[in-house]
Amino acid sequence: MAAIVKRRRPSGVQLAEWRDGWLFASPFLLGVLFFWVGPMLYSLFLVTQDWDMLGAPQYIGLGNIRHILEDELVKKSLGNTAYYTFIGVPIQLLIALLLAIALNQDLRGRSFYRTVFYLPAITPAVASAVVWNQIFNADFGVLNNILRLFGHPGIKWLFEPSVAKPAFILMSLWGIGPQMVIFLAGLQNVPAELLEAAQIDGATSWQRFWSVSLPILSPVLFFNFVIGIIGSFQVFTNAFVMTNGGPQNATLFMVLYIYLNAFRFFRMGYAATLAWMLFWIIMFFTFLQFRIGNRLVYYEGKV
Amino acid sequence: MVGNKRVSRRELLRGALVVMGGAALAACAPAAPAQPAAPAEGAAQAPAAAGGVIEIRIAAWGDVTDKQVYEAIVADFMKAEPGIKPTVEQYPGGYYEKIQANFAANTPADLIYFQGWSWQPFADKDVLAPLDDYIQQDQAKGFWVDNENYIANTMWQGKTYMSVADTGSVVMFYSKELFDKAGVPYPVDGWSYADFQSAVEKTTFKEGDIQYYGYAQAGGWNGTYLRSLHWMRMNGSLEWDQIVEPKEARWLQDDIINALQYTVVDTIARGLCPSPATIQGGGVTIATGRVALTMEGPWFLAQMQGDKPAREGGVPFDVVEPPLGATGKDETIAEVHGQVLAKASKNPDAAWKLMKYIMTDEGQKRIAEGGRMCGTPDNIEKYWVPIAQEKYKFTNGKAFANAMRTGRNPIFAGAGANYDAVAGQGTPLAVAWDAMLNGTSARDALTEAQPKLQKILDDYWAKKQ
Repeated sequence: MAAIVKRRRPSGVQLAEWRDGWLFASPFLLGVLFFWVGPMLYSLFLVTQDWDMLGAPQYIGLGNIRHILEDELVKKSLGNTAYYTFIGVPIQLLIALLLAIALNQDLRGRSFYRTVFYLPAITPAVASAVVWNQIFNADFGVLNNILRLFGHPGIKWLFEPSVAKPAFILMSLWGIGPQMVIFLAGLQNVPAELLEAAQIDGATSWQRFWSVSLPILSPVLFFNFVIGIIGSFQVFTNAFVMTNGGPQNATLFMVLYIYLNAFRFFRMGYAATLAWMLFWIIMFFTFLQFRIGNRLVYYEGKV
Repeated sequence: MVGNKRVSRRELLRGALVVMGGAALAACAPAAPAQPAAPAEGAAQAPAAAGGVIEIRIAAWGDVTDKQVYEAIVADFMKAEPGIKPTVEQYPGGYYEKIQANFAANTPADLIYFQGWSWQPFADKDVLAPLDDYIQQDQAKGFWVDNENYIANTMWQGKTYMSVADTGSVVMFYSKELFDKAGVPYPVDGWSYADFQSAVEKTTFKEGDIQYYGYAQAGGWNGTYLRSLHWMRMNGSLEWDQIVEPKEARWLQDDIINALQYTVVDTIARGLCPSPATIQGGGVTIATGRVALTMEGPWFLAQMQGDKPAREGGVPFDVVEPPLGATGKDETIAEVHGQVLAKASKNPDAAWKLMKYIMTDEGQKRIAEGGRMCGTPDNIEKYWVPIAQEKYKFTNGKAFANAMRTGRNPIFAGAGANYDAVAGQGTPLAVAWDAMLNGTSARDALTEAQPKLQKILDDYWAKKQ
């Protein structure tokens, strides 16, 4: 029989600590409530409404959801977003990992390189977009100049529907600094004695990486993958600044389409519905990653 | 009886969450729709602030120029009306989004600057006050221009909502340098479409490594529906059954298809016009001396000459009315801009006085001095042309005024199908233009777009009913 534990009344000191704790946490909590939970609940309410921000919202039941099913641009923007996410994120992770491995070696000027690779991550997104606009320039952009050295006539990076999304993926590599730093921290946690033992046993560099470093790195890899997928699904600024969703809607990503519906087409209810749809899509993929991750990720302390 | 029961932590938390959640929802809830403030007679004027001064707010466009223009106008106005103190507000970056948010919060400025094709959804939703009673009361009809385009830009469902503060028309800019180099005579008003095509071909040439182009669709970018209006309409075709609240999309007309095929598709394919990718960097425009002919508006003059032209020393140029088609007139964009009066205004009478003042000669002089084109064609010729011609070193300023007399705007519709929803980003028209700029034939691109455009109109009318 389970013993019934009578809860003691908190002492005055405990109450004061409790009060102080809540007081200190209150700015954050209020911010979350007013600027996150509140709007989120209101956007949930808008899912059933037709609202142009000028009059009172009108109840339309499942009208917005029905409209999603008929809207070709939803399919287009979801397709674009999925392409950018599922092709872009693995490439980002691969390159971030390779960079981290390189910068984990005993190189001269290692700190300098680490800083250089991280710098783009702290550049404002709009400034990056402007810079990349010039890099992608068909006539005098750096990329086409390099291609011309090899005899290629150059590519209309942001003007060919078939190239625009890969161009955005290429541009996303510019911001892999944070992922690289996380990988670097993970690599530095790989016990040197394990690597040494493997070396003594005759393991090659590749075998040491594949069988020792990578399993230990897997939680970090998993973290970067989850965060990368969530972030990529929300891609917006570059398309907004550089292409406006063009050419021929090739870079019309989901968040841009939500923005257009809300602030250009006066369809706030529909935009809220699309935002919730995107939320559940991200939740689904995050859940899926955790289900798969549980089988693949190695946690050192876990039995 | 007052109980002395202690509140548990759980109860306190629950209570606090309910209160904060309720407050958050209340804060985010839309304000009650703006209550109309009946204009003119019976308008409930808010009590004057201390000192007997009525304060009003006027929202100006987000450019630096507009702030200077409107602050100068307000300073003049306050000398004439010391009892009214207007404050100029600007919302740079996403002007209309912020206007919309202000309406949602029921805190719009009393007077709000609009482009003539953007305010109709707001009037449709009854958040703007019609001006007809004020106009009648002050016999102010003379400030409005009695032509189809001005009426469409300022009236909705038979009522006048927008004043006529300034304008912007598109004409043909030409680079004298490139015409001289090619030995082609300068174009003159009344030239034909065939003259235009011939000039484009002759002024396209290569000198050393530098390619010069006979034509570019615009100064800063290529190809949009707006920029092609003249070509599409110059022979009398209209892409809709009517400009205001159209019911039918009529894009598959030979005149429209042929005009777009040459001006948008063929000129690029044949190297007569830089492609969007070439224009992207900003180095290949008429303002840098690389293009001979471009359709542009008064806002582009500062790129050509003046204090800070795009090329050091500027490019010698002039303007001419666009080449004529069968209609015999300039059919290009004639933008009318002005102020609307928010229904939520607590001081509509004072706001009307300022609105009217902006349209007077004094106000229009300030507009011209600030670099904006005046509201009416006559005022453009009287005030703006002499200033602009001197500052930007060109001679045919009246072409801009004439364009305002004959040009028109693209399309007007109410809430749910504003201009952006028909022709803005992501829409079938934007896609059609992208396709044409990438070499798809005008017929194919428009055949793809036509049913989708019709669906947008059908949905608009279905919702309206």
